[in-house]
Amino acid sequence: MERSPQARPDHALDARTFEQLLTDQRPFDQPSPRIDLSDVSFVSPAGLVQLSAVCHALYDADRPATIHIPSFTVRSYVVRAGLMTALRDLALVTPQFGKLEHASDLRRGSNPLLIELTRFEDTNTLPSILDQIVDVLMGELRYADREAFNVATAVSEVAQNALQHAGVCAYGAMQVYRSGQRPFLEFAIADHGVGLLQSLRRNAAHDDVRDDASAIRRALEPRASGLDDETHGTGLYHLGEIALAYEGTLQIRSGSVAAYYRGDLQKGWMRTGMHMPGVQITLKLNRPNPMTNRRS
Amino acid sequence: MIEKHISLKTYGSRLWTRDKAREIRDAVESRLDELPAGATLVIDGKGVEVFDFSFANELFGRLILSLPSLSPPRFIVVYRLEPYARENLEKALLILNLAIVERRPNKSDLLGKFGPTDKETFALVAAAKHPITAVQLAERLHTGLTTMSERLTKLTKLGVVARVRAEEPSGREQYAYLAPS
Repeated sequence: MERSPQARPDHALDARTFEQLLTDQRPFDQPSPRIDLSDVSFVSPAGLVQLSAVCHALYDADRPATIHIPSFTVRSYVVRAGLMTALRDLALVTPQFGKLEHASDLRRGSNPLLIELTRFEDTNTLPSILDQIVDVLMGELRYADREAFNVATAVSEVAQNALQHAGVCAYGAMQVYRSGQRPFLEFAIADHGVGLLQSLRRNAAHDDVRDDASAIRRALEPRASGLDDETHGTGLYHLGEIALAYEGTLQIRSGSVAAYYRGDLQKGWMRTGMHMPGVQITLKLNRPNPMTNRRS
Repeated sequence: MIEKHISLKTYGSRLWTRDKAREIRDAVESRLDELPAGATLVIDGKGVEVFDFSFANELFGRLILSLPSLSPPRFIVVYRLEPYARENLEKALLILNLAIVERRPNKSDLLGKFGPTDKETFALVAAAKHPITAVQLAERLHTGLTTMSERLTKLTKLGVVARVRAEEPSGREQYAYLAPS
């Protein structure tokens, strides 16, 4: 499909602009999907995981995607961030690598992310990743242990939630941004599974949930789970509480609805867009101000 | 009172995921099964810097939910929780509407979701050297028997006190309540 003439050059592919990409390029409507990243100058963790989930969904539908990344800088970045490894044979990247820029050579550059794009098949690899997050935040970035544990706990909950309910693998990535007035980190996870609506409706207690928007709202309530089990259904609730405590932002996308919450304003919005299978979550947490370090 | 200890640190200083908790819960339940009536299993949290909410739900949540159905009754107490782990456990229990007994240096107290009257009643049962009846508790706390019975039913459902058969001085059997110290 032709690129929209309204597409902005030199923009980041992140949780919000990915919505525009889905609307403009409609990969799920194409018999031979081509995802064009010509106008993209940077891909955030949210962009990486959502791209991966889309490609995996298309592969499962026997319509493997081609991702077009003409910019050497961006191509190098996504390779070093783990895109080729995560997607393995699920999608094709064009232009294909020439002799002087083979993917393995690009890969030898340092991983630009705190946690490179990782495909989670189960929770077995999570503990080592979580320990790595804590160690890097405390060791290199001088987070207080409490803040580092909060971040790792949030990542743990959202990752386990994805793996438990999606029925498929999940993709996760994390980056810490240190420049600017207030450093922040972004963690994103995406799956191409059944989505929150179908997951919740497995439990008769949620028969009243009829659409993606109400599914997202319900999923954020304590003890809302597709499992009829008193000890489940608290992960997304705690995630929301952590986002609020750190004045962060939380975006949860499921089906055709994206919910966006700002912890600093204690407000949320919902937007309806193109349908995408599964659940995609992006969490941004500000570095705590030492003078106002708080946790509810 | 008989008690046994189990150290969470044995399983690591950072305990992540529900799967990990499931593995530990199997070990804890085995240890609990070996205890006689009225005994206490103390879960020592020293050295465990953190566990996530899913871990807390799977280990502590499920253990607490199983306590009221244990026959004969036994208790679970947490001890020496590191600060962040304690915070996460408390938050997890608040959402689950559960509570657990926490052993502190001077006394035992409740951790999780409970009200002032729950705390007061538990404290009195825990302080008693022997099983204490609802009538005795009602007298000491200046409350009606029905109210006290309701409080004790709630605490029994939480697994922080247990109802046992005791003998009156007259030799007649009656129910009394026991808590871990």
